[in-house]
Amino acid sequence: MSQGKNTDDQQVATQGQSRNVATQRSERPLLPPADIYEEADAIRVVADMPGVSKDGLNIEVDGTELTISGDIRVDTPEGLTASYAEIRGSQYYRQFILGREIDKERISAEMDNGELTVVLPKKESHRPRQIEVKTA
Amino acid sequence: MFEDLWRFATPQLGGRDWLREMLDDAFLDRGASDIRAVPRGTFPMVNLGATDDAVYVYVFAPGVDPKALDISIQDNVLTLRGERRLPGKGTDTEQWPVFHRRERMGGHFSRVLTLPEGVDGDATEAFSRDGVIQIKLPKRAEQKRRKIEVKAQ
Repeated sequence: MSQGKNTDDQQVATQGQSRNVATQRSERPLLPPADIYEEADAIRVVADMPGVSKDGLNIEVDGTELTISGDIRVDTPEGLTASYAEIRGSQYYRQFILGREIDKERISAEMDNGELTVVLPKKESHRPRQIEVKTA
Repeated sequence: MFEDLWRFATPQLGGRDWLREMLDDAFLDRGASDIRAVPRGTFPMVNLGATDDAVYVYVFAPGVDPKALDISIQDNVLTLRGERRLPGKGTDTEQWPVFHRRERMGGHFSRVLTLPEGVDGDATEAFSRDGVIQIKLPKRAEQKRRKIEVKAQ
């Protein structure tokens, strides 16, 4: 998960060019499980979205809202009848509220083997500083 | 100020499934289930289907290197083994990152599935895309659908 890998990242749509996700939701979407952790210069969100390709992924930032959604596409042969299913659905959908310290212009995302990583960089002014404790 | 601390005491699923757990508890099926049945949410999740010619297994294994996934079949019993590495500290000297949410499972996993009788293990093929591994197990000739012709006298 190096910074260098982020070069061919999925473009993150900002408010102006966003698709309206609400209208595409005909059934109840799946909630992708996610890990969220804090690093010195960014917050990282890692979510499981198997079956979602880079093209089927949609990440939007609207104000303080981060929306992650993706269409599940699995190649199925003609005439397949399902006999057992643990994954039922055609879309993942999840929202998070961002803090003010996140630099929305620099959000990047990467899809690798159905695992989505979103990097939410912190603004320069919010990076940690070492506080020196003075002795009396 | 300490309201926030509750999240450190939650189990792996982070409270995401409390309602399901409650409902499962209330409506738990006390009847017999398949010996290899697993609780919902077991990693990796699996879908099964069949056509006239083959049985298809879809393994939802996000974040798993498909080459590192060990798929083996004996008769009609399919075994999947692998490992998923989750973000953590890189080296021993590094500090653990601060986690706000940990809903995903990591580490070694294995799942065993009972397939319908009569699949041809030798002709099995698997390919992977976007974290979903499709395993195609052709049915043996005697298991395939045959058209019966009605002879007129």
